[in-house]
Amino acid sequence: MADTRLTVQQTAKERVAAQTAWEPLIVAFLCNWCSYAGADLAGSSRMSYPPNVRVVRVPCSGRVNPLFIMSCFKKGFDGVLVAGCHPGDCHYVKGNYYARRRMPLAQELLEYMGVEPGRIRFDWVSAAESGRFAQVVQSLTEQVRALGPFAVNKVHI
Amino acid sequence: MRVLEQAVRDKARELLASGQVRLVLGYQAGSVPFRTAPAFIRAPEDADRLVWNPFCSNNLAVYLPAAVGAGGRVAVVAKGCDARSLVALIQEHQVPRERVVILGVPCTGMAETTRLAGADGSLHGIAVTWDGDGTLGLSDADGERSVAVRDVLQERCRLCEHNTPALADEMLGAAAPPMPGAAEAFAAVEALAHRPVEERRAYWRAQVERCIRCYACRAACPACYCRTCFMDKAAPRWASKANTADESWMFHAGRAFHLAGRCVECGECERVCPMGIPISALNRMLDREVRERFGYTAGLDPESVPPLGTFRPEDPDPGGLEER
Repeated sequence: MADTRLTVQQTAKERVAAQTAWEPLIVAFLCNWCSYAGADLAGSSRMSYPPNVRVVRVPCSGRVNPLFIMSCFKKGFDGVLVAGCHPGDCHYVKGNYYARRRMPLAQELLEYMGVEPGRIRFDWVSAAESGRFAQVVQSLTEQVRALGPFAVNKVHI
Repeated sequence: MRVLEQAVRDKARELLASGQVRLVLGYQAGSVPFRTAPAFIRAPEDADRLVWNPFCSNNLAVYLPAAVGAGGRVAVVAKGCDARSLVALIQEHQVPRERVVILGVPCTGMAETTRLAGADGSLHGIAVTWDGDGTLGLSDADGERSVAVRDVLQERCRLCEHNTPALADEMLGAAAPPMPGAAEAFAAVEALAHRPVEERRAYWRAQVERCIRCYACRAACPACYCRTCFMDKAAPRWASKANTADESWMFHAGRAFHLAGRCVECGECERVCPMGIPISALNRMLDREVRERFGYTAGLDPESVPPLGTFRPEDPDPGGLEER
């Protein structure tokens, strides 16, 4: 059975296998109830968006620990998207409200430590907003592409 | 003369003799001059071991959860920063309020010992006396000199905004005057925040690269009370044991975020760091953000809820963050 786990080795292999120009790699944490369904709808509606995102389904945007984001950057990903239900629509009533306090603060901290804010995006995508999902992925991918590859340990000056 | 020191001893003796507390946490003379050590006083006759001088650097709140956990009531000699840590511990239900007796000491700042060194750059052979009133007397082979504590403050003390304890059961002395740098507490943080992002990345990479991951910062921090730190977890394994810049970056970023809205800037992490990494700059930066965003300052009100443990439906939406 194919190993579907998202690992650094795998992404490194992907890069080598591609043998082409650098492509941004972005992890998308999508809430099960809205954003994942929105992404699913985008797919079943045959909408096109950049293939640079790797989706991780989470129960709620409130489930996203800022350590997830730090871990992604540590492992060499170039961008992170966190998307959840619009305020007021959370399946668990208030998970996204907690996320709304946490995520911008994590973004500020990482920016202070030298991660460009454009690499992290926190947004709302409802189950009906397939077009918005495609748009968010499109704009984030372009933004990250413009910023170039990210590695904590490598200094690009 | 040393009124405060006497007040600390008298109060400790009284509390122990009357059986109101099982233990008094304070400071005692260290094994070398210019140092104090945490003191655990259990008998009234030992109260005279307690000292109060400009070398009482440790944040004693770090010992409190274990001390209270061992039973009975515990009194703590608390400077402004220690008192804020105690407030945070009470707020986060780590110690029940009724089990702690806070002996508030108005603090005029702790001395940076390296700034007291003699001409040869060392503290060796220097004897120190303190008049209890802001002036240190130093004497060595070259003679005697006196130094005002205010001129040789530790940076964290110079910038301290709450040197008089915010919460105390008993205040031992009148409120202390504000510290000289209180108005510029965030100046250094601001300065770095305005540097280009590549420069900040290079700066923090160089800093965390020196980390030897001794975790002294974590051990000295009263807010780092997790039974198992995320750095020690095997599953999920947030960071490996390898001492690389990547893993240390993860540690410092993760730890800073765990202290967001909770850190009281006692600066112990930075003081105990053997590598001199400016750890508390990260905490200070988050503190400034939390104040701006949520109007919250940690460690002042035991009844309040830390900002990341609550929310308001009218909190700002992330929209503004996208296109900066």
